[in-house]
Amino acid sequence: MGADVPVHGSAQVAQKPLPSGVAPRSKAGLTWWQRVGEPALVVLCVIGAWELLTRTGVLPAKDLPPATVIGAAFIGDIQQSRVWEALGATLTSWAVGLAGSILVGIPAGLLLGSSQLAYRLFQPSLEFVRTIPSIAALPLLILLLGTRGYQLAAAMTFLGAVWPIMIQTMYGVRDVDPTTMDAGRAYGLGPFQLFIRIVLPSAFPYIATGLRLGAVVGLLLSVAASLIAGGTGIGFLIVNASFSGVPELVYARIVLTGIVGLGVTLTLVAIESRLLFWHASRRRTVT
Amino acid sequence: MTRLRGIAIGLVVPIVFFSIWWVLSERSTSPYFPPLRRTLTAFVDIWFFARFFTDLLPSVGHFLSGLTLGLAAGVVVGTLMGLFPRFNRDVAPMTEFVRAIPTAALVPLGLILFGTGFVMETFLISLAVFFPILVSTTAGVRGVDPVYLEVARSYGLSFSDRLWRVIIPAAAPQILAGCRVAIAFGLAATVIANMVASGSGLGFFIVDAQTSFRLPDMWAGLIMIGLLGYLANTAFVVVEHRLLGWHRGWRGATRAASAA
Repeated sequence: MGADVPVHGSAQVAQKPLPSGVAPRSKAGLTWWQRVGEPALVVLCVIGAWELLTRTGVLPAKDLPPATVIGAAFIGDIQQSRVWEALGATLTSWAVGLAGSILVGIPAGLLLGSSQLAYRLFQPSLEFVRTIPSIAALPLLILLLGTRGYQLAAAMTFLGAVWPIMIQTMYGVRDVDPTTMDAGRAYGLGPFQLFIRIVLPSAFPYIATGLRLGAVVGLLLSVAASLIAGGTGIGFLIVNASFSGVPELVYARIVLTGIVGLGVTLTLVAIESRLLFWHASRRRTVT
Repeated sequence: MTRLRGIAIGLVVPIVFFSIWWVLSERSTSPYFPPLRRTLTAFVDIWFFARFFTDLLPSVGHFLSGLTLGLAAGVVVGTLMGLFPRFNRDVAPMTEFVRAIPTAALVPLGLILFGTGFVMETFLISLAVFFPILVSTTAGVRGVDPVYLEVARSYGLSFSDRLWRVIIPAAAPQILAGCRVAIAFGLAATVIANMVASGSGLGFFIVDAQTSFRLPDMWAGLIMIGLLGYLANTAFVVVEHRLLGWHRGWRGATRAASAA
């Protein structure tokens, strides 16, 4: 932690020594082999076992193509523009929907968290709405938006992402330490200053968690939209490969989707920890 | 008393919402937004009579069996990953990767492996449930206060006693937090599996109602799915309350939450 880090009330927690016996689990105690070598070897063994079992016919090769066949299909597939266009469509819809849910969810959450009355009125309903699987709205949205363009997947992403973002923001605003607020007032900060300097920074970890949850749920819904309704996304290509009876292509495209999903998650976690390094001690990880 | 007042205030928004919906939709001529009155009539006809056994019950059954399976597998593997750091490091690359695949993308895989029907849907739902439980259980077991473990060891508790009396109870709040996420994921997976690959179930029902333009039916299906989500969550809160009533941190947390 650098010396120029602004000291917030919460930053003090980081300085508190950990109770004895609770040594922080650092990566330092591990050798390269333990961290990278052995896990990589295990992955290779699993892939090798897959190859062996499918080649020898222990597992039905018709449904479970050997790993090398899937790999070849994967390499062949990513050389065609079709799959990139589909990925682009899915990710564009996702980004548009996510941007919309940020624009709506964060202000709404700030508002709901700041007012005691609004919180009491809306919190039970929001908790109810969040339990409804957004995917259920798909048929209605198909009627309203059609299945051709980007709109359907974008609307699905919005619908999935806006609730976690709104609810996390709301809880974040409510969790602001009252002592810090009092201290801010004592230093003569006005409402706007209090909001910018205290409320937003202390709600930030919650907002970041909401964003991460929203982004992941949104991606799921964006893929689901094209999978179920057809159209232009990667989901449609997976179904298409399945209908054309090319299982290795199904697997290859699922792997590709997984890589994209992993990329999204890792990027968000990296952004989050970069923005929150000063806040790490208070961060709550919601998975 | 204050609790009752809280509930009453919480009911204001839904009541206002449904009243506005009722009034605005009453004269609606848009086929997409049928009058709420007609939707509710359809709701009663469908879910209390015609489709109860053919669509509602199978969906709930698949959801519950997938949930049980995914939960059991997630707790077992998660406990192993939490207890043995080496095992954790070795399998984490694979679990992290599969976890990143959106559940919907796995539907065609389920179809290839299991065809349509009960096995495929249970597979998909349990997979969706498995990962949130796995992650939270691993974190919960790893995060058990080492002092508890030291005390248990110095009292000479056997491994199974330590596991059942110390580790699992200490990790329970985290495991249950994962359950909450898992229930939402599992329900979504149920609907997705129904939509893509089956001739029955709630998801199938609303898609079918939409394509054959029975829109009050579609709305009735939507409301039913919302209601199921709510019921599943309420049931979960009751169970959580029973299981974690003893847990000090959890009690404090909920007291703080309800006082706020």
